[in-house]
Amino acid sequence: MNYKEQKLINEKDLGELVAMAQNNDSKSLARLFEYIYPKIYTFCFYKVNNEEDAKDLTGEILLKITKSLNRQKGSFLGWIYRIANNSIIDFYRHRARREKVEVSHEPDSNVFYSKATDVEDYLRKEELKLALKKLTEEQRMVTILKFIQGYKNEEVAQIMGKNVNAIKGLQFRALRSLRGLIGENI
Amino acid sequence: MNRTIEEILDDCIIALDEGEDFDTCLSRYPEHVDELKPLLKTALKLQSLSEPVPNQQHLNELLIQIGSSKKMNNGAGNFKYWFASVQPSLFRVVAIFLAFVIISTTAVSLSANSLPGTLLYPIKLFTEKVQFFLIRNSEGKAELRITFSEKRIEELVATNNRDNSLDRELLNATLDEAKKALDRISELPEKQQPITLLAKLDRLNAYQKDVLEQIEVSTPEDDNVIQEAIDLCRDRGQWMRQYRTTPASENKRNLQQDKNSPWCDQCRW
Repeated sequence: MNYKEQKLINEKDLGELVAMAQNNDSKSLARLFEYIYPKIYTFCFYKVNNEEDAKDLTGEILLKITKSLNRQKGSFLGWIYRIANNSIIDFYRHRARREKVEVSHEPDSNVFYSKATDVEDYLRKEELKLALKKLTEEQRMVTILKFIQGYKNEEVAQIMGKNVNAIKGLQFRALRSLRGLIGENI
Repeated sequence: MNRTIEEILDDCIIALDEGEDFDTCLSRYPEHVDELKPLLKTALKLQSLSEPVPNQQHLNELLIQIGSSKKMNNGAGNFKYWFASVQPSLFRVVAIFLAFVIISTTAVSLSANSLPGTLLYPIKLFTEKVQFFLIRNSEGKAELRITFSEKRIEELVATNNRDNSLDRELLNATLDEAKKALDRISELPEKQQPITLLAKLDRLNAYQKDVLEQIEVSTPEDDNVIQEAIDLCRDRGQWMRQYRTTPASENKRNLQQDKNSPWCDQCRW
């Protein structure tokens, strides 16, 4: 099963997979983690803008999910994104304490931008990525979930614990802010 | 119905996702073209940001790490899960229990000095009943009766100071408790009848008499009742002195058979 196929898993299948993983079925747990790994990794990557930090955070988040999977109730996706978001907040908090660690704004690796065929396009995308960091937490979350991860409004609403109209409002404000930040460069 | 720009923008994003042409989409909202165009371009650009390619090797390493930590924690994990699942209800029960203990302890301690007619007085009487119920031997029960009788006489003094009147119920109660104390003492085997308890009861009787003589002065309207009680206390005192000086083998017979005893059931108290 490749990652594109994994993305197509429906809610019912996901529910069954979670239930089996909760019953200590190790194969289901592995399948579940294969399914959520790219989601968590992408989310972390666009939040922290750094490949290594995203990898570490993803590992940490998956461990947290393993530890408390048996107690999970309600929306599974909402639950894992909440864990991810809280872990990222903790990550920034610890990093702020360390202070000496520099926040890199440099592009991390060409691996992630292999599709960028020319330098100009590549730089525009980098600029957009940096502009994302200047959005509010909620605007950034909506932008990542909807435009980069491809969730529908209803799914984003469920993950963020908001209603669809609130998501539409956040989406509008996020796009307007991004436009203001990068101007006509797009 | 007027649609907000947020809703129109969302409709356009969905339409573009479903494959509609950019210009066709904009042409449906000519009045918003200027505002929509840059926002939709930004949205399209965001969608072109590639999802980072996950590192399969990293995932495999994580799965191995998670698998081994799950094995290691299996026993402890089950306990943790059990503890976590019972935690909320356990805490609730403990919290309710603690609240109950704190409230009842406070109420009991506050009621200790309460007087008849106050809110806490019934709690005081209830506490005494519980105390009495919890004591299993006759000697302990006799001692408690003496204590209760002392409390009633103290309350009698307090209510007299407060209202300048005689609380007849308290008077009955103090004399009755003293009688019940002697009943308990009489239940003990002859050789075990404690001299100290009898002495205590004797002192209590003398104290009751002294108190009543003082109260009599301030409550002339209850003079007859008080006088009757003073006489009883005097008779009881005399009887008690005789009882304590008589050999133990005869005391039992005296207590149970003497119908004229001021401690008997036929007397007023």
